[in-house]
Amino acid sequence: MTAGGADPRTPDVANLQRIALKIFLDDESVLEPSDVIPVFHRWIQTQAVDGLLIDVADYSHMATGPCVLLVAHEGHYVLDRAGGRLGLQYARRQPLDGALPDRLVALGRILLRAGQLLETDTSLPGPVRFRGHEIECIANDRLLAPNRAETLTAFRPALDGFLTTLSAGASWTLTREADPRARFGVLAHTPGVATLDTIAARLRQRHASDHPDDGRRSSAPPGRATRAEASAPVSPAPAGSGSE
Amino acid sequence: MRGENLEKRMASQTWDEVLSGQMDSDWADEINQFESQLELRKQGKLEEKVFAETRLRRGAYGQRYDNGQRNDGTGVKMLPFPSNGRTKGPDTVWDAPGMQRIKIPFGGLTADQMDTLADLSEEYSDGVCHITTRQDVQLHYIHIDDTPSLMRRLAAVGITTREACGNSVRNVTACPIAGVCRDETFDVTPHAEASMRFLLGHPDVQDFGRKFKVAFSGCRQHACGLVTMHDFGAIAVTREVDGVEQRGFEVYVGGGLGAVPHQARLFESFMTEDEILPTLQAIARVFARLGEKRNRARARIKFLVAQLGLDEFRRLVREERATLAHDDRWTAYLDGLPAYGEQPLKPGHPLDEASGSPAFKAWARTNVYRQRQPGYAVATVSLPLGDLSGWQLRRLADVARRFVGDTVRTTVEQNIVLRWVRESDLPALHRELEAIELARPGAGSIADITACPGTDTCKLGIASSRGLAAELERRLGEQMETLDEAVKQLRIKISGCFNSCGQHHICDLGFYGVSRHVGGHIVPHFQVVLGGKWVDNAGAYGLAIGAVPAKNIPEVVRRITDRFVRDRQGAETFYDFTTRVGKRALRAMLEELTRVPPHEENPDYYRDWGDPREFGIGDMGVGECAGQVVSLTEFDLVGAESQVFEAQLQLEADAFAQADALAYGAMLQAAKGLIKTEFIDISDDPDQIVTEFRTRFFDTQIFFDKFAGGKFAQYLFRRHARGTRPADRDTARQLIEEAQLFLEATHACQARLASQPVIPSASGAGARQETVT
Ligand code: HEM
Ligand code: SF4
Repeated sequence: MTAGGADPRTPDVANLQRIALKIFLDDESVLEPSDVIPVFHRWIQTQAVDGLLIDVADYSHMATGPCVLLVAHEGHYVLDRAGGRLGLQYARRQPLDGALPDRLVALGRILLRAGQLLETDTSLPGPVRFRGHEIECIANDRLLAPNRAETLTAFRPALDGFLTTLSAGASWTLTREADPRARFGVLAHTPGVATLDTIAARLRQRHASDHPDDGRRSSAPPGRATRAEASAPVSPAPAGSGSE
Repeated sequence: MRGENLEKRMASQTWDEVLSGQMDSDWADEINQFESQLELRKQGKLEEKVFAETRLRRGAYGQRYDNGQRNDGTGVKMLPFPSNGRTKGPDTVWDAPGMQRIKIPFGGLTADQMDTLADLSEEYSDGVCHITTRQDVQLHYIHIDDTPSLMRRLAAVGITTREACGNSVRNVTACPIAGVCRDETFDVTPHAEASMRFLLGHPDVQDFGRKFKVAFSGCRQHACGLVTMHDFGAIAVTREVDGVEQRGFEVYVGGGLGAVPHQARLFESFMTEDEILPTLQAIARVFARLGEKRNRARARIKFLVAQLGLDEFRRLVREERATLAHDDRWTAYLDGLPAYGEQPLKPGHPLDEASGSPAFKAWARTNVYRQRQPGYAVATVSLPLGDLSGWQLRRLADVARRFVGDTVRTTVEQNIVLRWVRESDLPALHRELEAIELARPGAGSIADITACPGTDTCKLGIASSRGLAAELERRLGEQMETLDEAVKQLRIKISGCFNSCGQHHICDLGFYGVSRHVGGHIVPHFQVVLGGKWVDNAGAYGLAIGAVPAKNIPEVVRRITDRFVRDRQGAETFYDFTTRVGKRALRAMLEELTRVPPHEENPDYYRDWGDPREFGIGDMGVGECAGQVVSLTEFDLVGAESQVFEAQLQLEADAFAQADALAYGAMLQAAKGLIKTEFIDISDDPDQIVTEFRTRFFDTQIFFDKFAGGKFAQYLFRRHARGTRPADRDTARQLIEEAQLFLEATHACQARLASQPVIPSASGAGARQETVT
């Protein structure tokens, strides 16, 4: 990226917009990637998910990387096989309002909603189930979020808040992508098992508590995020970890 | 004043700042200028047409649906981009995703450049890096606001996108194994590189009516350089002068694929090395001065050569050459030639033939080429449809660093080659490629298919070239072990339309997308193109023998290859086989496959490969009357198709006058069919047909293609005006190509007419019927 000399980039996660979140299929054998192509086309017809939906790109001929994309103006929905693991990713391309913690929640809501739609899609061979206890977060922007330890430090408060909302306070293990040239990325894992519906409900609650004007009351205990932050160990990524 | 892309709007730093000092200053200035123009366009201070040409010259192309409309399978829907009426070209919405073409001269890549391309594919595109049919790289779904940053990051690793598209000198291509090839006369890489540097941004190449493509090849017999399909192609040759070997080039001009392909013609049988650059400059000046500017369809240099005649063209170029002021750059690079050459990373070492897994051996059989230099080999990384993920590309850069260094090239078959692999490293290299899912065997085989972007992203795509290619690769890949050796070596190339970006003319089995109107629906089809040659620098161009529904193409491949295995005589090539068996017999084999079952019987025929949407439905509403009229037209179209086909057979029999007459007859019959939709009593008199066609379909622009305008009608008018001038092989061949295109345009026009809703008139009859009776 920068040929020789000190890297002049300083992490600026507060302004980070190009963020991608990915959830993983519990059992990959239930789905052929190409099964999703007609589903994504239908989503365009019925405007089923958030955003200006444009087209479907089929990369299912590739053994890794994005498999099937629902191309959208604000952010792509990707049936993604990066790192050899099939999952659903929402990769934001256009800015969102709000501070980083709010933006993460908003992205999470968009992604989980799409995941729930896949889980309940009767045209898929299924049953499609996503894991609620594992999520990947990638900063798709090497300028504002170079893959360095400082970026993680800067990113953690927002990320921890988001994750502990998903796990209702339980701690997460974070594994940072090892290759410094790769995008800054964190794979987060929490020991308990949770369904997508569960974490989606928690995120909705959090949204409701942040937006009391919406008329709903929050039951999220304050201060949880701080506690989880302290307890979430950051394991260094194993060398050669194959994530994309 | 600069543009305001996402990072600029939001962030504390920009790529411009971070990369300052790492970019060539001229390139940095150009990108700044481009960014200013982008900003001016945003403010409405730059005309959209001017901005469109500006961005094209920087490789920023439009992409399908960028007019803000798309048929989602239930009808045409608006795509409400937030652009507020802002456009980046005529009918091209600002916020719509676009394509960025990245020029890779002779396909040469360094590991650092691969890293950057990988980064860009992830951050600005969809995570996929695509290799094109001219050794370039393309990224899709790019927002125009991101292009200045993207260009800066490329410039920082020595890549410019300047003149990657637009009416200028496109990428200069060369054999991917130049310098290590066992058969080459000499390494053409330095000449390709010098031509690229010299022509890039040169004032004499800024005023063309159309693109100009240059290629270099190290030999005559192989395909790598594809010289015959280039505007300027040079094949390395030597001669002896006073006992001393002298290097030079056999130079060809006026070649090109596209709708009406032309084989390049021999311009000079021996041009000394020092004359290559000045001659290119002279040709550029003649082309800029005399080439067609207004009519894009006739603006390639091939038309100028045809119009002036080769001798006159040559005379003009030589005259121009004589007047050029000397430029040191013409020959400066020649001083460095004796020392030119890539440095291998490791000393050569032969492979122990016993080593390696069975998978390695299978891969090595097709993907490894032994270099001229003992102990070294070229390894081909075979990419499905030319695609690899950003992660794969970054890891491939690491593999390159470990095994070969910066000696990587892309190929026109949409693959990547690693040169200077120490042979004894091959098994280890294969293992590393396996780990990143890039160890696909079968490079250069029938399962390694070339395809243009087609309907996936191209605005002009008719049928899904990539969808078909993926399906054929899947099927043929599965059968690879059992396929006959002769079949394995065939090549398939597919284009989404007649423009031939997928190079369907120059392979064994070529296909290009067309559509046919069947029972009130539009059905995706591919024309089957046979008789092309990949070897001999694309030594022969194939011709279409008939259109088959897209869903039957795998069966076409099976039948033709089975017959090849069955009837092959000795070591006969596929080219010789098709010539011997004849197109008539081959077409007869496919006759049954041209049938489209009714929609209710098999709706699958009415969808394209990899796309569940109904093919081009939605705005169709066919009334009975239109149906009836169409069937008369259809009748004539079928007749016209067989005339074109007969014309091909006559051409093959060297009966040029008959071929010409049949092709002309085919156009007349197709035109007549169309006229019948309005005027049923049209006679067979050519004058009447042309006059009626002109007034009813040309002057009214009903026949016009959205992109090509009236160009196809001009083919008929020109031939009609020519009267009975004698035909030769070239003119007959060209007329057959033109007749084929005229027919396609007639099919398209008929489909448009049939899809117009029938408006009930006061009498209760359909409006269209009224015009008929
Ligand atoms: C009238 C319009 C067009 C014509 C006549 C045309 C023709 C061609 C031809 C003949 C080639 C390849 C063979 C050669 O090297 O000469 C080519 C290359 C190519 N075309 Fe087109 N094309 C057209 C428009 C487009 C469009 C709209 C797209 C899609 C965005 C496209 C995509 C490509 C690609 C990807 C290549 C390989 C490119 C490279 O690296 O230079 N073409 N085109
Ligand atoms: S051949 Fe046609 S469909 Fe394919 S890229 Fe070229 S213009 Fe587009």
